Amino acid sequence: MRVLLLGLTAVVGCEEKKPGAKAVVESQEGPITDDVDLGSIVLVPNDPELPLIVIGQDQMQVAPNQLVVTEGAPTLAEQEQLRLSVGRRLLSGGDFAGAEVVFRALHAAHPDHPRALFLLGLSIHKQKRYAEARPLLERSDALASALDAGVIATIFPESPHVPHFLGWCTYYLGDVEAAAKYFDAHIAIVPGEFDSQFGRGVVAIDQDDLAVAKERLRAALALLGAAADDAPGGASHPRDRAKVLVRLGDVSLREGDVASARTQYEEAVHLWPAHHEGWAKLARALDRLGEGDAAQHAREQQQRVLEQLGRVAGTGADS
Amino acid sequence: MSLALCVVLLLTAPFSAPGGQGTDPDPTARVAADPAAGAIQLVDATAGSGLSMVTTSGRGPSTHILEVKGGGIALIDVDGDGDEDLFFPNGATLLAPDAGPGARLFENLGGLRFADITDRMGVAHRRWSFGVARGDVNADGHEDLFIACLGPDTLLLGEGGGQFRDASAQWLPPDEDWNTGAAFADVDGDGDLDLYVCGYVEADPVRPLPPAQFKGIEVLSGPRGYPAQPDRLLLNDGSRFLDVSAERGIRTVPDRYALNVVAADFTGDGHVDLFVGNDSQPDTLWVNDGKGSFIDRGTPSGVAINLDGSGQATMGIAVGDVDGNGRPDIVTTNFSSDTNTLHLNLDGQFFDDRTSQFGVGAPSRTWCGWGAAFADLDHDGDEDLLGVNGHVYPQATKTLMDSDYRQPVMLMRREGSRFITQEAGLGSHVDRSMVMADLDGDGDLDAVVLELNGPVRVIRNESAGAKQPDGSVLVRLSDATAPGNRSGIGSVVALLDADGKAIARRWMVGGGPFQSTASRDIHFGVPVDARGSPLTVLVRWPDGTQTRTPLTSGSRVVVEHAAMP
Repeated sequence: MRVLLLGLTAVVGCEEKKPGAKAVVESQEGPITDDVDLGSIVLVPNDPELPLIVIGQDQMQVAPNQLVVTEGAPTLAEQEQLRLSVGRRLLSGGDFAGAEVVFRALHAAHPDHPRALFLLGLSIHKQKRYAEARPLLERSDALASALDAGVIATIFPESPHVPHFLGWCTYYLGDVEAAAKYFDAHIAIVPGEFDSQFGRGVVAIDQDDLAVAKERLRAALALLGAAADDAPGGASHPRDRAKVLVRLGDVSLREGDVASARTQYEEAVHLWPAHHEGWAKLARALDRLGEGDAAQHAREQQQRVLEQLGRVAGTGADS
Repeated sequence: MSLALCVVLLLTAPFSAPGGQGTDPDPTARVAADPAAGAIQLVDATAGSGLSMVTTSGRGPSTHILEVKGGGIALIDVDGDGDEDLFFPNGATLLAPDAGPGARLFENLGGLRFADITDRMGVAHRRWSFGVARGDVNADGHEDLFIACLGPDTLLLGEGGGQFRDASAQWLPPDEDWNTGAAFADVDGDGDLDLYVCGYVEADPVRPLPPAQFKGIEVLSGPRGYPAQPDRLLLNDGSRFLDVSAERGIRTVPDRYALNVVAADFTGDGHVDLFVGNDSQPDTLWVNDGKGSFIDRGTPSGVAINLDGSGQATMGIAVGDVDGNGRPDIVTTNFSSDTNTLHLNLDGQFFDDRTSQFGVGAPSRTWCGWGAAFADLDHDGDEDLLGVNGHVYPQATKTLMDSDYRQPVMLMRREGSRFITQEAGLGSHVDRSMVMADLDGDGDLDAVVLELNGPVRVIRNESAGAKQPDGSVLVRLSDATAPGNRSGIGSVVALLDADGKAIARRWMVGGGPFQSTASRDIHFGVPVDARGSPLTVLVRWPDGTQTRTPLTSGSRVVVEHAAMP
């Protein structure tokens, strides 16, 4: 029997798996470039106290509480430990292509392990190759769902969050129905996770369901507010609050309430001045309100942010 | 249809009066679409059609940006028999950009059958060509062709019977650039056709830029990295075109990567404006001051960028009245991993990105979109959306780039307030251009599609809803007051029901879906409950006058605009 020795080198950096728990949000990215990021699901440093688990590849059955049974395969254990550690570090550091290489090796060694599938899928997802990531994440989700909850929590602690990434993945593939389903699933499991509330709101905008959009976006904002209250020094998470406010502004604009949209966009760029989308949208609202000079100022701010990011103003294509 | 949309429609006038004030006395409501029209059915009818042409656009697999844009299509009645024939300017290869296999001309024989009459043209056009615009520039009653090329452009003057004369040297100012889309329109209101030409990039056929990266994959480069080339506004002085770009405002913005242009009155002030689709940059909305000078209001109007503030890789441009407010809305088709975008024209001054509201965006994320057009394919009274797709990178697969190289046709059926994506059932291709017209004279709209380095295809509309002979109206404009613009480019046409309510509106545009020229005929589907009752075609001509023409459903009419005695 081949054995898989997985050091639990990554766990989610929040306690939101308990329903109602407040999310501990830690953004890893710089200024907003899109909606896809790790959200509040943060891989935290390896916990050397966590046990290694041996599972059989065939049935993915885990011997509960079976610890560090290497049975002649200590090299493999070390190898997997190293892969997880290095891959996690690359993922957290934004080297998604590097992480993909590492997790491909992990996946090749353990093609049916839901965690290996997830990590590989996540590294590909982060490179915006959503069509390739989707089946990996879906398979991970399906395999994890078939396992005992207690077991999966031990061997694959990120498993509750797979639907979150599937939500964004399917959204960017244009499958908004699937995206809604996955975000709803994640919210049901992890109601305190703001980014799935946010994602569900974004999907609802695409579905032209503005009531749901507002409800979810406000829920996301409330979660962020709650998290901020707990944060040392008071308000926090300006980037995430800004991106939710911008989407609420979109809803206001769509409803014809340009004044409210303006207020929401202004609040967003005040919170996160590097939010170039926010500046662009604020400019649109200001133009509509007849404030051409202010709109031009907002566009200049957008341009400044884009230049700081080293990006060419406005393109949807990488060509 | 949602209640909200109904309310909007009920408050809407068929046309906007100059200055955007609603002084038009015409009735205000729009007839609801027929919900029972059913699915749209399109069939590839190329086999046996005689449309035997494989286009050339470099060699596959493409390695250079020059090879991936493809050419346009012009619908043109070369023999004066009333139906529309087909002209394809065609491309060439990197090693011989001036010596391609040549343009082709096909006569429409009826019944979706065509005959190659290229030999009848009397001229051979072999330069690598992109956009093509049709119009009677010398007002002699024969339609002419402007062909945008890599290198000097070409003007072919029609002489009747399918014959043409190359009048480039006489008519066109020197221009060595790579030009793409082009549109005829009377921008200065003097009754003849002027010309807007899109400039793309400065690219050496044998020295492309080093490869770029897309989603981590090495791909052909551009447009970024290449210098942009200028657009040109050419005024018709009766015997030649004069480049007035500088004095008419076109040089007031930096050169952009322009691919496509549509001429129509977007502001509702009675003057024809120009919407230019730019690749990977904000689009341009040239607003006409009424005398043929322009200012770019793309950015302040909101139409230059999508809601996220991004300029997009605009290729196709479709114009239609999506929300029924009497204003021309714009759909642009764009690159993969982006969305097509619907810009609602709110009041002639501002546009709003309502891509999500109408369901246009999500399905398009995996497509790289090109030619597109609104068309009432099922004759239910509202316009559906048809477009063609195909990636530019031969390496494209869903796995590597979330988008395949060969892609299906975009068919979005309008249902109430949303566009619903429907399988077109036409296979997957690397398409570029598309034009729509009633090519077989059965009252519904068919399509001709141009594939990159592939066979030209003709698509027949076999939708059940479009089978009834009284299900549509076809209108051809004939403006005797402007012999050079007899087809009435810049006109707005509304079909009114028996109560005088607007069933739908159309814009007689210059330019079109992608580097192509749309049909001269304006097509309206007529919902079931309006058939058999008196209808009226209301035309606002480019000179601002309006005419009303009574007709019945199932009619094919020529609406004349006579000179005042």
